[in-house]
Amino acid sequence: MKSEITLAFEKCKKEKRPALITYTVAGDNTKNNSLKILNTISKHADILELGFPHNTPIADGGQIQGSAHRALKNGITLKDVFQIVKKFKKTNSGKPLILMGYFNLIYQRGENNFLKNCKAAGVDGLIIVDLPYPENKIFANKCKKKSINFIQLLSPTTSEDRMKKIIKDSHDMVYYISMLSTTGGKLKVSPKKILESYNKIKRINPKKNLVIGFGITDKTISSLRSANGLVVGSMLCKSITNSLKMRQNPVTKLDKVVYNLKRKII
Amino acid sequence: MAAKKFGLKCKIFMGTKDIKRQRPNVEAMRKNGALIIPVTTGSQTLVDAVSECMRYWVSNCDTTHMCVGSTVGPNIFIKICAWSTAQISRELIVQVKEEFGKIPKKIKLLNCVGGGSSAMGFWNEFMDTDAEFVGIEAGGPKKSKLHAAPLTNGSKIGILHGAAQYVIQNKEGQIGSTESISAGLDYPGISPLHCFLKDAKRARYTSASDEEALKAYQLVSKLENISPSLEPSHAFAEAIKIAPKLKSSDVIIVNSCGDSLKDKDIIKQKLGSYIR
Repeated sequence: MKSEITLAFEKCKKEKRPALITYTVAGDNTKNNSLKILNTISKHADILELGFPHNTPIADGGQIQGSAHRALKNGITLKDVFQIVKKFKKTNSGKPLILMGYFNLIYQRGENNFLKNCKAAGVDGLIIVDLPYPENKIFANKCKKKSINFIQLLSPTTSEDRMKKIIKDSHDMVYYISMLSTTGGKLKVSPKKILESYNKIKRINPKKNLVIGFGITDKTISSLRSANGLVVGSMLCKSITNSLKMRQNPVTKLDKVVYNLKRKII
Repeated sequence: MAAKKFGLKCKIFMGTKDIKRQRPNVEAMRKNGALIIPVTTGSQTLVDAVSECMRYWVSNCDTTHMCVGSTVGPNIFIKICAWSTAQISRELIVQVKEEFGKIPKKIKLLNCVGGGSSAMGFWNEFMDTDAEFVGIEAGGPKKSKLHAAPLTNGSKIGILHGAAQYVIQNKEGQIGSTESISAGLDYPGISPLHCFLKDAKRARYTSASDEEALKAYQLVSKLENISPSLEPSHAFAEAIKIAPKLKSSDVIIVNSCGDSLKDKDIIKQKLGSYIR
């Protein structure tokens, strides 16, 4: 049976456009609002990434750190995260949802318990930033057995030899980090250069769905539209921060921002 | 400083709380040409400085080397640090043999442990001898629940800064806050190397409180011709605690791995005056 993630990519390919993948943090700015945000932006986005916040997020820049901080201040726990996913999937069963976060939270809950919770809530995939290949092999296999996608990460410093191994062991989606940066950095490499690397990786296995993330905003998204998928995260977290500052409703604000992003890639 | 010696540019990441409480160190680093990058996130101490340094390195690893002065972080950085500091024990082993003719059967090497670098350096060459290793963690203020002693207080294994180690954290896996009078020990993890030495029962770990460390600082400064910083004062506190129970033939060596000058502001605040 094909995964929801594969189906989402197939649909986008038919429409000759990249999949729009969003990232927001569970509990930002409140538990309720983060669910409302998912429900709203899922009209425009093809795949939703939901961060489960950690207080030592070494891969994240200021924007996502800010979102995680807000969520943790609200007392968000993994239990809340799974509840948000469950409620979302109840009304959006066909929309793939990927949880993204750091391994210590999974380690403390226990890998098997965590995956059981994921399955019960309807999680489609996982991105675990600080669990690199090959240390992630055992956990990735556990995910596969539960039909949960473990999404491998590639970066500009990944050697070709290593890329081949990672792609061979990957599931339905592979994530290419556009540049040397934490999340939310300014795109310091030209889109042309990023796509050159992207195409090189695609040639290793053209059938794999390869998405690009890090540094993508409404200003850069259209220049990368030949990719299978594009991830926008920090820009959305920043929009939440700004709307709170301006005392606007973050839900309606994100609806507009994501709609606008979608318009730029169709 | 290594960077100055080799003509390299150097950025030092430091929490703003530590910049304030370790002012003399900051001035010394600036004098040697380092650019101090203040870290304003989280607790504004070592843990946040390490995170921010890693973020910078990830973003600039095509032009920049990361050096970690503690035995923390991903595998290779721990090895680089521990191997470099091991020079201390290479010299110590020569001095011990000069003093005693051989390595004594009953010898204890006491060292404070926070990020773990000086203890690893102090013990490394003695690994295959009979020397007993005692690591002293920062117990924090006597009346506070906060501390920086994950090994003494039975913290669980977690993942912090790219390594599995015993780490102060809550049930969910969020990294916990720490408190210590000593900036160098104020870290929620403890280095995977020390976790291994604990589990292998090669080293013993205990803690000293802020108050005990301050008392030890006072006593050592009064009686000896040295003035230890607050980090090794934790180790001196343990030496003072155990010495009365030992025989005169037993040997204790404490690594006085820092000078009190860097802590003069804290000492002044706690004891009313600082004399050097």
